[in-house]
Amino acid sequence: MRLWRKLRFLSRRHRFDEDLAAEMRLHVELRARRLEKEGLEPGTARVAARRQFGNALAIHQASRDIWCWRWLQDLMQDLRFSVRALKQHPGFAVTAALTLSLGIGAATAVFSAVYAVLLQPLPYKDPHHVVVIWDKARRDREGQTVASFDDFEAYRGGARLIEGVSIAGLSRPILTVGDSRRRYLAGIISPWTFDFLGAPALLGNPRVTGGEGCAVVLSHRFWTSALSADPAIVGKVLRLDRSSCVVQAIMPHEFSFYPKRADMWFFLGHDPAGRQQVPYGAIFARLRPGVTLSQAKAELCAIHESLHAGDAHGKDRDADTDDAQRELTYLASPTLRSTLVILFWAVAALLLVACLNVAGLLLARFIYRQKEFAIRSALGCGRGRLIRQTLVESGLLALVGAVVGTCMAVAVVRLLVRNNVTELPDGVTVSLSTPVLAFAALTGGGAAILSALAPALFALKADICSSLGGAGRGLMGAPRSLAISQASIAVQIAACFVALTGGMLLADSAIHIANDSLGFSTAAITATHLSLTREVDRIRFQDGLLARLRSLPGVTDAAFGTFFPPYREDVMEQLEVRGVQSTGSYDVLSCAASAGFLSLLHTRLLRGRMFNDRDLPTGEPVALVSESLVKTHFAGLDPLGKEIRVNQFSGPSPWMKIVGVVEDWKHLEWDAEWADSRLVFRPLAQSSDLDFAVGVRAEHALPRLARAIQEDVRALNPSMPGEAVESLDDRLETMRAYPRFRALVVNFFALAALAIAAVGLHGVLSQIVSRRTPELGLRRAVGAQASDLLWLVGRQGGGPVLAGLAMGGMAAPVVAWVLRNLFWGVPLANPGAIGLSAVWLLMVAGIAIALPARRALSIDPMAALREE
Amino acid sequence: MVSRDEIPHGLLDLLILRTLAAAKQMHGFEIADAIQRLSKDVLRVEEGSLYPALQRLMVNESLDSQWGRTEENHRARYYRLTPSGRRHLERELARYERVTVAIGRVLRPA
Repeated sequence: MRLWRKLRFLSRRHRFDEDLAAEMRLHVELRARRLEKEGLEPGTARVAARRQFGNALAIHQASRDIWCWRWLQDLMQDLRFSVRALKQHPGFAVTAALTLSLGIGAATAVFSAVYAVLLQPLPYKDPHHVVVIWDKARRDREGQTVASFDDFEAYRGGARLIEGVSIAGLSRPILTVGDSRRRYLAGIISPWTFDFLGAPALLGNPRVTGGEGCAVVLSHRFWTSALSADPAIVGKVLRLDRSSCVVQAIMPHEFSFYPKRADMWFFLGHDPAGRQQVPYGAIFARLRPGVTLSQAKAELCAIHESLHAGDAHGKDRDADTDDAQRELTYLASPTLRSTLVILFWAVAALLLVACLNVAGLLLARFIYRQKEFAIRSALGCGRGRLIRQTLVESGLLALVGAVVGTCMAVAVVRLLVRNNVTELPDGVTVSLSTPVLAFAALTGGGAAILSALAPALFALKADICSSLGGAGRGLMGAPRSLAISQASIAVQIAACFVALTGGMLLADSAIHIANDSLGFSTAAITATHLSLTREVDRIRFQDGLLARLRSLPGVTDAAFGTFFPPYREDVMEQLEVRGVQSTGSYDVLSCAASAGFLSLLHTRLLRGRMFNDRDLPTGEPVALVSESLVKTHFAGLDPLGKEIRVNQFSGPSPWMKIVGVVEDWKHLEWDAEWADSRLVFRPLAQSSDLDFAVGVRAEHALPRLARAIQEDVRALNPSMPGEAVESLDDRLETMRAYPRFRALVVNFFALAALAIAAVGLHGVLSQIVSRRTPELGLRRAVGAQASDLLWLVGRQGGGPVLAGLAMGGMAAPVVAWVLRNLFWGVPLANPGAIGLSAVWLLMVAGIAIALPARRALSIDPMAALREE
Repeated sequence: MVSRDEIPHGLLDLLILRTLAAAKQMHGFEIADAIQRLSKDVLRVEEGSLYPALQRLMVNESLDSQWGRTEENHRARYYRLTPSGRRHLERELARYERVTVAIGRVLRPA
């Protein structure tokens, strides 16, 4: 109540002041009149009345303090003053606020991703004690694999330092609803898994409660998408892999576990097949209280060693364990963690530099306002008040910066989510949550203090006499602090140069990825996966489906193949050429293809012939190979007529005669670059594959076509599960999204850094011009030409810029090398990109130098000298 | 001329309330004048210090005020005791009496 009255007072204080003054005036007047009546002279009476009243100003102030806190009044006053001061120089205010908002915005956006992926704890009880146990090659750092069931049982029986040891394997069950069948991804996990994780269900109880039969726990995503979030589903039965599975529970939206994209989890012993064990799996456990990760690891290694003493497996493999959050992030994307951590430190550095540069700008302003400060302190303004004034000004800028920056972060996060950046793990939603907003507020406050530091120190040292006497006289040349600022500008320019070069290279590679010829065309092709059972007549099914699909309205072509491009680097097979010692390397990829497959994809034949209708199961086995395979395996030889075979997991294929050479397909490697695939195509009729894909080129929109394809498939083979129907264009688009996004991020980052460095440069030069105004005026007066002054100022800014360019030029290869080791696919710097970014940088630096230089030119010699 | 003593610190509020309790409403000068008159010129209000005290009493809602005209047609702010101000006065008076009795006992032991 009282607080409210005090706050309300703020808006009425002018009225209050007037009233109080009137009241006090009346009092003195009445007293004077009374004294006059008592016989004093009018003049004496007036003086006596005033004396009797006391110090009117102090009394007024005391009355006012009763209504409102003094500091609040002062703050309001400072704020008003700051707004006025900033309004006077809108260019300066906008530049400073924008610099801070760039810094704060970038930091907040990156922090929101860091928080969502790395910091927000997994929704388990005591999540940092949950670990994952892998099997690891002793020598190879990357060679982590799932562990065997024997290992799991040994750990469960033998390990004393961990508890709740459980295993999670994978399966792909088919869900039957009515006559539609679809395949999903499931985890097969130990029955106590949810208990040991301490993860409560949204609905139901995630335990085995119903005796022997199949029991399933559903993910939130599956529940909402496939079952329309039916709340009555718990306790009901789903047809999964021809078994009736009782739905035990629905997990909440934020729950995630292994596998990351699981639609459901079965309990071991209660999956549709009733399996008692899985051959391999990821092992999860909880560290007992007080046990460290390395202690647990040592124990697991000892168990692993004693279990595999003497066998081939134990010789070069070992147990490995790590924090579950780290591992689940790694499983989603191997580079995500390091990307985020590095990006975060980069934006933190950006923010720091932004603050320092704004500090430089503010300092220049305050030097310019030196006289004002001196007058204020001569009139009795305390140093504390002066420092508070600088803090309020920078605080105001930081406030605007924080608000604009947070808005920018919202936009960036929206973009991130909408672009569906493939690197973000499933189930992680990046959003501006409370911790993220708190972070933005905190960085805003930090920025205010940091950027006020230099001006505040300046205010502290402000010397009334010298300022009022001879403003800034004798400040020839740059003092030490300016030399430091210039060095910092040089470093910033160097960093900008490197970032700009990197951004250009990434943009170049993203453009390449978008425009390169891939050896195939996905335009308007829709594909789906099919898997037949042994009893179906494969050839009849394929021919029948092809005929049906081709007769669909709008369909221009259709064909079968083991897989359709585009694809990522995949498991490779080994090629053998008859009569030649095998190289032993697994470097080719084989694909069974129907006669029209390559023409559907517009892959060109370079030599020989394509497959035709005579390549039958009974005919001579033939093959087509791609250009790069010819280069590596038939260097200088004619491949046509040679016999080859492919060693797959299932065993070697028959010997096949090469009848033609086709152009290479490109595949996307982990480093986000397209690379040539060495391909072997075999006629579909001559392979015995039961798993293959069908592709259709059609003018239709996807949903209608997908329904038509699924109907056709079911008409021919009602027991076939329906798989997702996918547009190849979309798949290609997703693969291109990450390189594009990465280029976008790095370029945004580089441009932000450039803007901030330009502001810094501008700030330093403005300081110089402000300090040297009398000197510049004097020079002008004794005949210095405009070009002389331009040179004088330009030299101060040009020096650091050129030094920065040189440093950046030297550092760029080193930085590129370091980054290449950290991230895949950072391209090497090339002269074109370096030259272009240098030109770009010089242009921006030129503008940043020109503005203060122009101010130096506009100095009026008379005015400047009068200040002396 | 009688010697005039300063008002003991903290008692000013009490005096203002007591003065206003006797009248319907008064402006600043009248209050100061009344305190001097009632105390037979012994207690002198350091006149200006009346105003912060009045503000303090307004902030804790013991007084309210409104603008009016004096007999000589001057614009003046008139202060009035509120019901809560009356209660405040009673509390303060009781406290003051307790304290004076106690101090009296100490100064003049029976």
